[in-house]
Amino acid sequence: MLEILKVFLDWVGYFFIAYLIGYSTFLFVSVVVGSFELYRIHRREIMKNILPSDYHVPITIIIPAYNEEVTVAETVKSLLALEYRSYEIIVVDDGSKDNTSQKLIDAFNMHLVHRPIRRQTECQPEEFIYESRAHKAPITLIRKKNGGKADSLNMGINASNFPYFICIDADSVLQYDSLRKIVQPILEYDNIVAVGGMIRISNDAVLENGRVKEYNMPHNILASMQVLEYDRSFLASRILFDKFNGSLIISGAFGLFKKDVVIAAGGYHHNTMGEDMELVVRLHEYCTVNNIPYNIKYVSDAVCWTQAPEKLRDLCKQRKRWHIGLFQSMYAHRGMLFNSRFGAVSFISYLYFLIYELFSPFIEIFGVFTMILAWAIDLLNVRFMALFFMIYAVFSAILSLSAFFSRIYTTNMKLSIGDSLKAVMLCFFELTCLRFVLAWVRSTAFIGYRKKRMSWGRIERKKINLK
Amino acid sequence: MKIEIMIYVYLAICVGMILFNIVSAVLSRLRDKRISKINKRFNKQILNELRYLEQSGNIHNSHKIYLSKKLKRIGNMRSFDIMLEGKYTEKPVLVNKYLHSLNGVFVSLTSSYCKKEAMEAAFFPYIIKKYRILHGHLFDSMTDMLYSMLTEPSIYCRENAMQAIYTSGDANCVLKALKIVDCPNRFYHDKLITDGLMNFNGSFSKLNTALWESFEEFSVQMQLALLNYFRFTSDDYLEQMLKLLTDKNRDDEIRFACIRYFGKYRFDEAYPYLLEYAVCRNDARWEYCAIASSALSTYPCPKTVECLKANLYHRNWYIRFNSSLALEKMGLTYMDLIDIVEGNDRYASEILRYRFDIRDMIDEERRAVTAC
Repeated sequence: MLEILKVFLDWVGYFFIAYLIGYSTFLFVSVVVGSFELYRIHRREIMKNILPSDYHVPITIIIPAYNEEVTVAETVKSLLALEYRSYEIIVVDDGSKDNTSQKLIDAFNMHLVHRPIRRQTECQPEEFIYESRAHKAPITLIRKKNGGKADSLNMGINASNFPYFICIDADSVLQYDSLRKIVQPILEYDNIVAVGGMIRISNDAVLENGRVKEYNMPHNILASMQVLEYDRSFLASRILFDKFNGSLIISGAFGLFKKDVVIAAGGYHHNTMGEDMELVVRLHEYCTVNNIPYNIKYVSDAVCWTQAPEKLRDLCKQRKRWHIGLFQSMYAHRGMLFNSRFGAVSFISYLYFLIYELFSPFIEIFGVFTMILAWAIDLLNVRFMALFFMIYAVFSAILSLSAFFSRIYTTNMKLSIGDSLKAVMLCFFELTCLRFVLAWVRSTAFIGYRKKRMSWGRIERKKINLK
Repeated sequence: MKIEIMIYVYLAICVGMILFNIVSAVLSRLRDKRISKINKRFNKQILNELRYLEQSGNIHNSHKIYLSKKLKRIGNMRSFDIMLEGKYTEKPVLVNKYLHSLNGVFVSLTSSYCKKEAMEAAFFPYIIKKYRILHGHLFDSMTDMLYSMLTEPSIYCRENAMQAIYTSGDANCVLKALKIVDCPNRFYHDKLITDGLMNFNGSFSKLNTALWESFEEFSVQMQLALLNYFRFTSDDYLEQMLKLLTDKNRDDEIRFACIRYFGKYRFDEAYPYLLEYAVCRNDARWEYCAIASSALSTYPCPKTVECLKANLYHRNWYIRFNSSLALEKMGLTYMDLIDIVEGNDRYASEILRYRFDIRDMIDEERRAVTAC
């Protein structure tokens, strides 16, 4: 019996060494590529390699909202301050139980209109529509029966007047130049079907007219750790995948899409929690299967500021939703795995998400249990394990910090010494503790998930710190 | 043992990354300091030279030689730009005169920027554009450099070169550039052409004549960009547009652009064609009908109203949508359209009601602004 256990543990050991070396190598390659790309973009700006700022592609901004009375008016106000000429704002109130619609109607003096909406993608019927043309951009409020976030986005697509749309969250703030930046790939490349923007955490940052006036690491430790995590994830995988048109995720908090392609692909699907990822994966599949040339790009300097959960409970809820959404997207498009038609999207992006995102929490939890088992039967080389774990932690921490400081440096932000030290300390804590907590949360995400299929993910909202 | 070696390799990478980060940070600090020093030096030099220019009407030859050497470096060129930008806001006439005296320096710099990699090379046309160095003086070496940049894969390089060429104010120069850019292997968004041409810094009539003369030499994509540019800038091309519109061998997009042109500029000779297109007899040609319906708002008359009213019953959304918009633009009232608003066709009635809602809303919002 002990012999069998020994062989089993040996194989587990080999597997984990391969797994962690694979991950570390990926992280290393992606952070190096990402850092160079950020540096290249920074240099490009310095060298005035820019497209003229007064060329505008008309855009519809869709804001799905559910019980967002605290933030929605501020969000729309911030959108009206954007340095862009040709856009409209559509807020879709998904049957909120609070005063989301009334807050908007009052704040922007909106008028009831009887607007017919062309149903091109499936969504719940509207209850009323208000509009206003008295502001920099036309504002439309559509109140509809509750149907979930995907349903609200579909309604926004149906009501939009322009060929491209952007979806943002109701608690997010776009940086003043973000629209100009996110449309650049449309002018730069042929066949753009989607563009992803950079999400940054706004907790304790002060924004004035879409510009960062003060940037601090959030006081809340959990939010601070998410800053590091976001930087690593955005800088790392997204820039690398962008190099071979392999982005599988465009965050629901800020992404641009070509309307006719999204409609042709069927719009947002209602039966998934990760409607943002599912749509992007489906666009890959739809365009490839139908032999439509396409480009999905990621723009790291088109910035959207969003609130990160400050309570562990909220964070866990968010991550559970993300993980279920990931599973649903991957499962729905499982035909892409090892399918040569999809090229690098299949063999790199899909495989990465499968192993290092979807399966990773199970693998990590399994690893911890195996270590306990090996230690219990005295088969654990504690010295080797400690060395291995230490190097893994130091390595990951350095890459996280490289991503973080690359971003700070290339965006000309000033960070206090205190905040820099905080970043260094917290990144070890994030990698050695939070990561495992979240691995546990993600691995248990499926318990009872069917009950919450159509529900909105709720985290506690705070007023956005706008001046 | 092999695994341990791999682990040590990763440990070495860790150390390497830490060193790299530290060295990068230190180098960046040093570079900032050096740039600030150069900025100060340039500031002093330029200030002295501007003062001398103000007094004597000339600049020193030694200054020209100094700049010819120094501005070969991209960092120095950046500092020069920053310094000049500051002075330009204070004394634009004097700075223009100063730049005019430096034409020879810029010509001499052309060859060294030609040799740089695309990203750095693109800075030179940016400077040419910003300070309008080509305006009124066509330097062959400089224009040749700009033409060669138009074949670069980098869109930024091509766009900066095009922008510099627009500032020359020379129609032939722009025409030649457009022919180079019009290459099927290199994507160049038609919006960049349409909007870019509006930045032309010379006689638009000369440019437009040159563009029409060479119109047939361009690809459909480029022709489309040019037609859109004409729509935004001039109503002088009604005859040419009508000729294109009535040419059945033309690409649909070209003819759509012509219909849009007649939607902006009234041309009675085009009216019968617009009216014909606005009647949708074939579903496959619904786009003609939708665009023509929109254009008809510029031709208010009973015939137009009758055609647009009929289009409100069409099953295509865009035809209904554009027809209702055109009727609203023509200023028709609820009473004029009561037969449709109160009629049995729900789609036709809804879209008109919405138009009237919007009209009332805009009126109310205007009144509110006036009252304030």
